[in-house]
Amino acid sequence: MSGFHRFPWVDDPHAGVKRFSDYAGPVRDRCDVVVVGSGPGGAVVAKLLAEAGKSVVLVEEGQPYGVKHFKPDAGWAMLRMLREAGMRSTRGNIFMPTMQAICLGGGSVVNSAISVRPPSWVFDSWAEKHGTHLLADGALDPHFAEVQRFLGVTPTPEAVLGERNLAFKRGCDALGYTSEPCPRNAPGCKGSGECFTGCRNGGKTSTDVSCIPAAIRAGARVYTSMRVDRVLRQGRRAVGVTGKVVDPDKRQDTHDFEIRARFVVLAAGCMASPVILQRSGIGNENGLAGKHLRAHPGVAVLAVFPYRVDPWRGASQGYQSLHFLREGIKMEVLWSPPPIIATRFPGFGLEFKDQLATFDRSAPFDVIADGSDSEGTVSGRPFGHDPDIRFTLGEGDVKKLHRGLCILSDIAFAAGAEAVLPGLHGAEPVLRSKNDVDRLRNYRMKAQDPVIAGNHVFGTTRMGDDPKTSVVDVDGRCHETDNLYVADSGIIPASPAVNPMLTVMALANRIGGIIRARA
Amino acid sequence: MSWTTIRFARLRVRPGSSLKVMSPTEQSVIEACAQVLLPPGGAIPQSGIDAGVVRYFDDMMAGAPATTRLLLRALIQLVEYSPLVYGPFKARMSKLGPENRARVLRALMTSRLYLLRTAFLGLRTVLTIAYFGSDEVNRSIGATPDLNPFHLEEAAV
Repeated sequence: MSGFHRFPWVDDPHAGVKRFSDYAGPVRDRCDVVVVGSGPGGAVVAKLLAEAGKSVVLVEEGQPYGVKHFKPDAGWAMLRMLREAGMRSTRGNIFMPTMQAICLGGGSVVNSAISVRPPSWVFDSWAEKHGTHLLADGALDPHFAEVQRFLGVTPTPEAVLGERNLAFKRGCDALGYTSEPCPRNAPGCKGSGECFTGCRNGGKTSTDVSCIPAAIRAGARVYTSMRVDRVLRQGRRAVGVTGKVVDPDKRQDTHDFEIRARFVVLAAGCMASPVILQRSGIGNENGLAGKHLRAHPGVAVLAVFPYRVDPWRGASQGYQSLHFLREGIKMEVLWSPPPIIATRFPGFGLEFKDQLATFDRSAPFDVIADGSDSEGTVSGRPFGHDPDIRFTLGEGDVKKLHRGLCILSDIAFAAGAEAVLPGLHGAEPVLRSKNDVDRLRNYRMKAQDPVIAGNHVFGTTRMGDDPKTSVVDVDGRCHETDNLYVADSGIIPASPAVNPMLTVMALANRIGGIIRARA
Repeated sequence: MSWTTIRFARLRVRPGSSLKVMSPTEQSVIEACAQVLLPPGGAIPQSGIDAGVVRYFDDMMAGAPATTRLLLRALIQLVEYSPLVYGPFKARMSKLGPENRARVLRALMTSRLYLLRTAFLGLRTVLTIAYFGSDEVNRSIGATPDLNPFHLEEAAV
């Protein structure tokens, strides 16, 4: 065990997790607190309450996947660990792919482990606009510290950065932009660049290998392959959850299940929790669940260098620049499997294949906008269980993304790139000089021009002090339902400016503490 | 036999086929596109067909949730009928020669219609994912998995 982290590593972190093969028929259970969802929010709440001696049941729709299952194959990972086989997309003025995980550990299994604290002005802004004063003035600091300590969050070590990350740093340095190694919950990172498909080194402290084993050791029961459809209610109180056991291979419902509890915590994610509330007839008295979907829309450039970069060597997202954060722009180094990155390449046929062959000299850099000018909704579909997601990318965010693309191109050339691929419809497909970047600056980018991804989503059950404009209060409790909580990214009321995972975990830690005092 | 019955019949796997869910029509569309999108030669010698993209695509369709499979099927149909609907030819994609297929795909890629550009990108992305399912393709670009590229000591965890 390393001194980097506080949780004890175990050989079989999923021991004790109940799987589909364990269910012979309908499942019924009873507990103090039922937590729906095992991602960054739910796992933290479950661990905290189980360690406090509460009877906890954690329910997860996906399956456990671990080191022995992971394969460095984008299709494999998308089919098994992402909802809608990784092809989930918004509709509206753009089709924005948005990837949500369906596995034990949720998004923490497939993300790049970036664990960044938002700056204090984020919480001041939330307090001013949404009345979340209890989170301002460093109130979340102890929760951030607790989570960071447990997960072993540290800046990405230089030894595992690799040329892809270092080139970004060089470019920022040359232009006078601040940059830094990304803080990540990956104390065992060896720089294999396989975050997206699951770390075969076991280097990430995703919740399935950290919080959940701790919760199980403290007595929590963890059920997988169970999809929660509704919160059960009695009058104005939640009394549990109900749903279906799902055969993970056939993707078919097999049995009913019902978990009775004194407290219910929804942490099924920003796309699923509001739909559960919409179906349940509780916790959504003002009909706001699913409204105010926010995201961090992101675009990327591919910098092509005159020498080998070997982009598959190095931490997936090891470096970032917060230089333009106040302007709603965050920049990062990016890595995911080559075919996902290749969406930026122009053309097809031999031209496309020749471009693929430059991968060894390439480094993708991405920019995310704070999404403050964009909004959407999430609702249940009349058929199936996946949500209908509508999203309108606002003009202000398009401008931020455009500006970000130009800055990233500057960084790439300052780092020594010989070409930059901006992946923009209607613009030059390959930039070869600073003059080309200037032309890109003058290009009037439309929302439909770039390939946009929206992987940080939040706001659909947002917190606030006014029941007319928010779903939960600052403690994560549904305004009209005393014992129903939400503890996932849905409660984030506005952009956290940075990657939201650590904020979700800190908020969940705070919410868990509040429930601990009540349960 | 009604039109609907005919349509569903065409979405069945050919008897004796080793594919799981892809119908003969869908197979011919994917093959036709793969031959143009990922031809043999160039910097990566292996073609899309040789890399097994059709089988991989079929595996993805088979393993995807029903609604996603429907989406993939709709994508294939859109590409198949796009020459008839949007031009420039009065024939289905799978019935065109390679040069004309390339013209159709280029028209989709550069279309003023966002939906068509997105369809092209979706098709190319899924086929590229399938292409990179081949170890040989990964080896060709030097992307062989290395769990310890910096030769670090035993992992901290």
